[in-house]
Amino acid sequence: MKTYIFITCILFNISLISGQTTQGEIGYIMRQHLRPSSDVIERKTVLLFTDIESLYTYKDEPKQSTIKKSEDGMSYEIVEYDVDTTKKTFYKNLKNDLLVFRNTVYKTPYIIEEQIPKINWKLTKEKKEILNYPCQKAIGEFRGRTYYAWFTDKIPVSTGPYKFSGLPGLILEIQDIEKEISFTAFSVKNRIISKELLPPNSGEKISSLTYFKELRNIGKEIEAEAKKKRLKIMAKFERGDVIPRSFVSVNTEDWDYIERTHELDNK
Amino acid sequence: MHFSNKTKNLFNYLILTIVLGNFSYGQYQISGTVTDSLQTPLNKVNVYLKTKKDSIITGFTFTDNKGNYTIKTEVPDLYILTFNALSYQAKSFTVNLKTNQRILKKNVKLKKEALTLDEVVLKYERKITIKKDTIILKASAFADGREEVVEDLLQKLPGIEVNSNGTISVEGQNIEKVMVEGDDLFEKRYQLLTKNLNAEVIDKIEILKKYSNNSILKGIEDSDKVALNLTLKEGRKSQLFGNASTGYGSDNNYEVKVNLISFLKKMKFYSFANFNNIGNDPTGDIGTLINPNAYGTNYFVGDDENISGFTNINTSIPNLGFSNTNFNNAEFLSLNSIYNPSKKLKIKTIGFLTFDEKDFFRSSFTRFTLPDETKFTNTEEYTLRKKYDVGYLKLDTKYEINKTSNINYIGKYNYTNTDTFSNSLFNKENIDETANINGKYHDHKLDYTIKTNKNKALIIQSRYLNHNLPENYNVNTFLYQSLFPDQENIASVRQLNTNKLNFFGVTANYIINTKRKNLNIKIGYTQKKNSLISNLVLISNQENIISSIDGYQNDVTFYNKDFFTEASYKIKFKNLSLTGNISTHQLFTTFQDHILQSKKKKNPFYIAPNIQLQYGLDKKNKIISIYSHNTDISNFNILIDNNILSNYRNFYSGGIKEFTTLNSDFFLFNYIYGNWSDEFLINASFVHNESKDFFSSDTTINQDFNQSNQIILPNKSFTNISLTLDKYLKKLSSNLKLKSGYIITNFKNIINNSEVRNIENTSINYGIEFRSAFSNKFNFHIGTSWNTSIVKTNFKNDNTDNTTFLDITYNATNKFSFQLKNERYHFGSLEEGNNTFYFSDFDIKYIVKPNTLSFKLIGHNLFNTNTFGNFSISDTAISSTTYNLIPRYLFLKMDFRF
Repeated sequence: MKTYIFITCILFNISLISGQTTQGEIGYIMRQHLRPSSDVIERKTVLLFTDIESLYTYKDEPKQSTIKKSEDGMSYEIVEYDVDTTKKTFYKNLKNDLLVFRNTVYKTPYIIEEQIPKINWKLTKEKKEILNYPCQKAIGEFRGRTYYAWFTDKIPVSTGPYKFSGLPGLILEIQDIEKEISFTAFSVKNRIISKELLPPNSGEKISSLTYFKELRNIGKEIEAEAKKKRLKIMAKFERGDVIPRSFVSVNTEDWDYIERTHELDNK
Repeated sequence: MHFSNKTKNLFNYLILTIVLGNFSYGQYQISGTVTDSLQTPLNKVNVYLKTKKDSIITGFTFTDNKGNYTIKTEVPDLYILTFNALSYQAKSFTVNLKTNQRILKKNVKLKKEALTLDEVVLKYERKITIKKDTIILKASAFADGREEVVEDLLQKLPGIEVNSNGTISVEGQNIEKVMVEGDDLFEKRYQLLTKNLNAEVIDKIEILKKYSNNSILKGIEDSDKVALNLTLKEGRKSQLFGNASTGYGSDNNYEVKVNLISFLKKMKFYSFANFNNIGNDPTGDIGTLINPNAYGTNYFVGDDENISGFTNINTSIPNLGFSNTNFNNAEFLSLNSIYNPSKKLKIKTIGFLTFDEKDFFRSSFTRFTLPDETKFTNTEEYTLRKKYDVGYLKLDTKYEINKTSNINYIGKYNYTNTDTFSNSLFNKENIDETANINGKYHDHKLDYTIKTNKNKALIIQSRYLNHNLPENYNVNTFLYQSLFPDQENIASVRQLNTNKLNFFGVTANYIINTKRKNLNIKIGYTQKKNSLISNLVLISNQENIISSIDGYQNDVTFYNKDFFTEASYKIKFKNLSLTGNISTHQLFTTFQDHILQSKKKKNPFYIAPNIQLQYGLDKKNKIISIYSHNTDISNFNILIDNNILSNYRNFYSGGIKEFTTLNSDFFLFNYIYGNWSDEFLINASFVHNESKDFFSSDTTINQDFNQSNQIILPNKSFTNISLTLDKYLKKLSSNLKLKSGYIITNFKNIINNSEVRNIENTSINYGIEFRSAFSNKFNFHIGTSWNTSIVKTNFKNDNTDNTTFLDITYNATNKFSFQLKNERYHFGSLEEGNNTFYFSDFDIKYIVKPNTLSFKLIGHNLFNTNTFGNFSISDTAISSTTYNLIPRYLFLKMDFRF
């Protein structure tokens, strides 16, 4: 018995050292089309994962173009986004249930540590194929939005883009029901990760609740400003002239409004 | 440890009971431990149940850090229990929960295995594709599944705005049309499409900037127009849809409108019917289909050629709109289609029929003051009924010869039959008039366009137009004794006119367009033949007919041939655009009088230059300035010598002995500061028009009738200065608008053989408006404006009127909205007690399902203002008139889409 245990321990240590685990890279397109603005923002993002850790970042890809409204709301122009300046990074460790993410808000980088959010997923019977992987749909609610997530058990790691996790397979597509936020995978690749996946650490450390409150305040400001702008324009119209429904452009590029409520917020 | 068998059994039995007792009836549980081959517990292994028949995961869990898991399910079924982790080989077991066993234990050992992922890389399909002047948006990228109609989808697209009327604009500019698969059925009435076609059949939306109606001219024609083109999903190209609106009111008024649209593979149909007596004019709705270029900028040779007849019975009511004044009974039916027999050929047909009956009533009191100090007063009570009968057919064929040339034919046929019956009590005299005007025209346009290289094109246009307008006017009272002193016992008078116009024109137009410059050279030839046979017939009590009276008959033909050239050059610098235009005309005119057997020839030559400047200093400041030297040519009516009776009180004669061209200079300066989203907006403009000589009139005014003869007098000027200011008041969330204008016209005329009199008409208007922009449900718009008119001749007359309005809107919920409109008109010079008129209209809208079913309750003219007064002054008279208006009613309307 004792020898049996001893041999087990040695073998266990050996298997730790030789650490050749499966690693993968999934490319997602993140789309944000928020109500107050008619701007559509699309970014290429990438998720690197092992069986325990995953790292989701905005890909360093310059010159993506999109359509934005000009300041005066009178015209729209093609704008080329440069390299992502927010340097958003999300690190998840499934073993110790840790989520560390970094975001830059108004040029100040912040580091927030929290537990990986637990989402109460409800499985549905719907199936479809994404990138040749069979996927099944689940519905869950996360911080004020309801999402449809398509996951595949052929990649049996319980993670996904952004902060999403908790399904018995990798989430290849996730979208909120109001269609304001979506993450869609467009590539699956094998990856040899030469060094460990590390959580981000450059930035001011604040709590999850403080960060949420700060974004919400910015969001409220942006929404209020868009509304005011629109009303200001409407008021100049002649009698009998009818008012256009959306006439204003709001810069939502740096504004992260994925989370609308927070479980710790008692508002 | 050593237990006896008996104890072991008891122990197991106890555990089973405890464990069983923890479960409610119906729950199945599987639990166990997952380890690797070395018995090390594995953390975060996926454990899930998949139904064996459809492979759907119905429950899942994860192992904890001790490798333990518990998975539960309510449904007894045949499952596959899978243990899966990224670096291990997955293991699956069939589990039959249909048996009685409710608790299962399953321990699993997993073997290490690196999983190689199946690599897939999709080419990222951009949802927005931008080509040179086209932006293509994929509908699925922007739709959220809640759109019903195309309009809902368009609103969600970046760069596109849709206002509550359904007017679509891109870059703040209204679009020309919405095409479907390249076909346009509706021109500017695209709301019929966007408000009725299902959104889910749309695949892509294309925004076409610098749009040209003629695709070959794209990039050559200096166009800043925008159009949309929708492409349909495969398999959804056949559609039948439309909408209908029915309503009934308290005054037996009704309205039924139906729009039916059908898309088939090679044909698209649109039919439209409108039956109403609530004051809506259906031809207004279809006006842009009939004559799209009248509203656009593509001039085709002969576009403004038509006959203006001589019978003139005026039924207009100033200030108010159709809903107040149009007593009608209209029936309208139109059928339109587009047929694409091949890729190169497109045939479009538009046809409509309409019948309408309009009623009109006015009562007026006019006081004349003539230059020789004569004064007299006329009173009139006038009732009229007009019946219209119109038929119209248009055929539009486009043939694409090859990629660089096309040929286009448009043929139109129209008949308009108008019958007017009126009764008037004029100064105690009872007068009945009848008029019948039976116009017919057909119009053929042919044009050929060829693109010679990337930025050069040649367009050849030709047109043939034939218009016939016979007018037959009768009045049963003879008030003109003083004109025909020798005639006695005349019972009635008839005026018969035969108006004919034949027009032929051909032009060749060569355009060169580069990024900064646009050059347009045109040469052309037009020939016009106007003929008029007019006869005043007097019918005596004994039914004797006296006609062909000297001075009261015309039999003339006027030939006008014009050889012209035109050159236009536009340069664009950074903020400045400059356009210079010059045209030369060599005319050959012959005026043939068949009664006098005379021919007058005149061959004038004239040059008309004009220059335009647009300067956008920066985003906030813009200047537009235009100077042009214009030539006014005598139109046909001015040349006829002898009198024609236009209505019971007016004789008209031309009297310009020779074909004449008159010159005038026009100058405009407009400055705009700010734009829509700014706090402060200024729009200031100055317009001045100066004519060295102009067409005026020499009128003889008698109590019973007037005779007007046209003459040429020197020096006419017109000046208009206007200023509008908008200031947004942040604290009140409202906009304040100040409007002011000053117009002064100086001209001359002759009345009753007087000396040439100078007349100065001045109009001053100023007003203030306040419009709220509250973000809650309630909003209002209030304003008041004054208008002062001053006429100065040998006497001075002035009058000030005031118009005030208050509009209130209340949007209770998304579905329920209320609107109230109020107006007050005050005429300073009408008599007290009868100089102020109030109007109030409300509508309540209830939307059951947006763009699918809605109801509207309309309350019209709540103050029941039955008559409307008006006061006007001119250089010879002051008149106060009362008109009848549509009285108060309540109307319930239902709109639905199918």
